Amino acid sequence: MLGALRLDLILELISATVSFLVGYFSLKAYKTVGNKNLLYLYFGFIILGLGMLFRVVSLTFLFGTFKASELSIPAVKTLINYMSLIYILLKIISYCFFAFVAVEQIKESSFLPFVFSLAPVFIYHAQLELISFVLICFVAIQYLFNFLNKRSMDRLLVFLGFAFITISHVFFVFTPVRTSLFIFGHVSQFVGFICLLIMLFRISGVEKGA
Amino acid sequence: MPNKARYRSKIRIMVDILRVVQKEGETRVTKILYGANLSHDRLNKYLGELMSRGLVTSFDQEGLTFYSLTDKGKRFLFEFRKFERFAEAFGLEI
Repeated sequence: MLGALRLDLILELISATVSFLVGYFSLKAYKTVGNKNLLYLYFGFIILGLGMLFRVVSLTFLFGTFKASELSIPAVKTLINYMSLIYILLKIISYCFFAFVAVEQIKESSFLPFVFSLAPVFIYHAQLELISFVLICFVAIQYLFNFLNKRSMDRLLVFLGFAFITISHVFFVFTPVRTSLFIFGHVSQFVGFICLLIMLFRISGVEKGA
Repeated sequence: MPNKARYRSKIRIMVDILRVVQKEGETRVTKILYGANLSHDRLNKYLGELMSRGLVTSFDQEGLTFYSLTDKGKRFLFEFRKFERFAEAFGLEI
């Protein structure tokens, strides 16, 4: 079964772990500080982590049992399609939480952009990847402004994290054109989560007495 | 830029008080009043809560009341600083 694990699954498993860590930290921060946006960040990262973990576990299980099972290739394809659908839906839900936090940061914020960004999910199924790209792109741009407003290494790392995750979606979108882009997408996503992990390490090691 | 008073959440006020006490070491109520920018009544209310949570302790010396941070208070400030930086990294104000 371990032999069936592919590089993208390993990278995704690490990314999921980082996502859970950031989510856990957000929850701890929320319990101490009481800012609701931290709770939304928690939901976002935990759901994102669950989505990635679901993909890793389900594909690993599928690859591991494929030879032993009597499933035909079309049946496996259908299964993978359903798994991908759940995976992308969980990603979109998590991105909606991130987008909500980003919208909250805009002073003249309203709930409308959030609703508009969510609506196409239920209207047009086939463009889920594109929708997730638009959502995460919005979040990344917001964190770019966040960094430009007040430059700090922590803000830069958060921006880079979301920027790399956004770039990964570009790679995923063009995977049908060139298959090798798939692994680039996962590497990019992985780098994004590593940026978030570095941010977390920096913050956890904050100097005493600050 | 419009002149807009910055809203201070309850947790922010309590942390401001704790930071003044930490900076001053053993301090009297007047210094905390100025440092945390609070009215006497509100400060007493918050100090009462901080003491009931075990974050601040008071003692009398020569008829005057002094306040200082407990170990729990120091740990709380350290933890808060981390979460504040985390929120700040995401552009969130506490």
